[in-house]
Amino acid sequence: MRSLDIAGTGMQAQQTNVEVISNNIANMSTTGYQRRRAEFQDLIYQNLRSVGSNSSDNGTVVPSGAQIGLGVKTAAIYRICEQGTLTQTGNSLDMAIQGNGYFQVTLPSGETAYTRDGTFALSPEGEIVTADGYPVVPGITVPTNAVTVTVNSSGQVQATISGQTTPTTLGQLQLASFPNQAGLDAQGDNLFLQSGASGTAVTGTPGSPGFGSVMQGYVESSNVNVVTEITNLITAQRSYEMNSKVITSSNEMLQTLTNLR
Amino acid sequence: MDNITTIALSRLAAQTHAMDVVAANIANMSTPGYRAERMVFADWLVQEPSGSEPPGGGTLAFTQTRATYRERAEGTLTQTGNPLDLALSGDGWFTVQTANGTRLTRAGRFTLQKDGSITDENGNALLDTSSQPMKLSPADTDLTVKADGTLRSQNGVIGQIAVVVPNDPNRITAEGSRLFRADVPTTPVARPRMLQGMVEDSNVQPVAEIVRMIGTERDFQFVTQLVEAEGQRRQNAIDKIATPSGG
Repeated sequence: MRSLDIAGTGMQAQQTNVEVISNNIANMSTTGYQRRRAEFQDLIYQNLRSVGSNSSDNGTVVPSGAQIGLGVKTAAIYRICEQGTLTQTGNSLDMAIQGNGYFQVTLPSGETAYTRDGTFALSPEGEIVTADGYPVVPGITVPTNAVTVTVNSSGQVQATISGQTTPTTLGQLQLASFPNQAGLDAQGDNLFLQSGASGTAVTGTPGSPGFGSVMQGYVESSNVNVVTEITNLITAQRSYEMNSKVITSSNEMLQTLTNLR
Repeated sequence: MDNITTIALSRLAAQTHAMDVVAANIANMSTPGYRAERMVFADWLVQEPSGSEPPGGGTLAFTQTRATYRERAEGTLTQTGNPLDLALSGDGWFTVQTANGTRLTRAGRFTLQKDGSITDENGNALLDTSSQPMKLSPADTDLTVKADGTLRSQNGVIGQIAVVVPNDPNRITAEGSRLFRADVPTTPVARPRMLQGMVEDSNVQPVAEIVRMIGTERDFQFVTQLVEAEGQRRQNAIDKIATPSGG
């Protein structure tokens, strides 16, 4: 009975599907989180009767063969890089990217990581760092006597120093973009690393062609749509149940055979 | 001749195959671009070797697995928001380049590779109308796909995605991984309807599959009972023959 194994692969696939959906729902409120989607593919086929084989000596061919599929497999879990909604926070160091691009962050190991989570803060030395304290690249230090920090849409960081009337330019934020951003290697903590699939990072000024603009005082919420996730969850659960019914049914067929004498 | 049992056996084997097909359809309920499989049975006529024809004709009809075919109904379209997710409305197939030649797929789940080529999940390149792999330059970011398959970025037209149909829609062989091989030449679709940011789900109808599954199982049990009844009938006959007359 192939149907037992086939339904088994179906149950495994739906299990993965539920896991991905639950991760999306768990990260509903994670800043900069991009939802994932499990992708399935049909497994190989067994040919009971090959298509195109000769059905007579006169050269007539079988117009469509008899093929039995052997189940399903998980092909990929891919990230949907849709823009999340921007939420106003009022914090001058919260930055959201509207459009394409990632902030660059230096990890303690010296590697460069990429993130869309722009909830930044200042380190004890006045450097702009992520919520985990990793410095943003290129490094920008805010002097202690700065009254306000402003970031314009093209990523220029300026500060008004107390006692001065004209703002001082502190630095310029750079964004990174990738030929295939879905191929970035997720590290958790909203961080991604460059991978063989993503291609090499191209850096540019926010707002220049191919790059999104920076919005100060906003953060990008996750792009998880709860309604979609819940309906997906229902579909996945029902699908799981149906696969289990196939197993029950196949089992009953075997049972009938066993009782035969 | 053990005809009744062997005919019943051919039916049992056929029902097992039918069950496998239902199981494969249900397992692939969430596979984009999957086409539900159906099984066709045919009678296999065997002429009785005996000279005298019994009432009802001298041929026996066995069941044989004749063919499987694919439901051609469209699957539902789901919005994904990925600019390279493409769905076809109506007839037609995307073409991809694999190591074994050009293959067809309905699963328009494409991604960008680091070299700018557009591929499916397994790295098979999507082909344009002149059967060349589609390729983007790193500067192309804002991608739009028109209904006729024209892919353009902010820098202009990149190419037109090919949509073809095999000359005989039944002459396709599934190879797994959502790919089909066309066994006859293909022709381009005159007016394709392509939708961007959508993916076509499998066209498996769960209710129909479950009904078919129950039917298959009951059929199987029914034939099994026939085999059992035939066994008892024969046992009965042996008992009667073996009993000495008047004993």
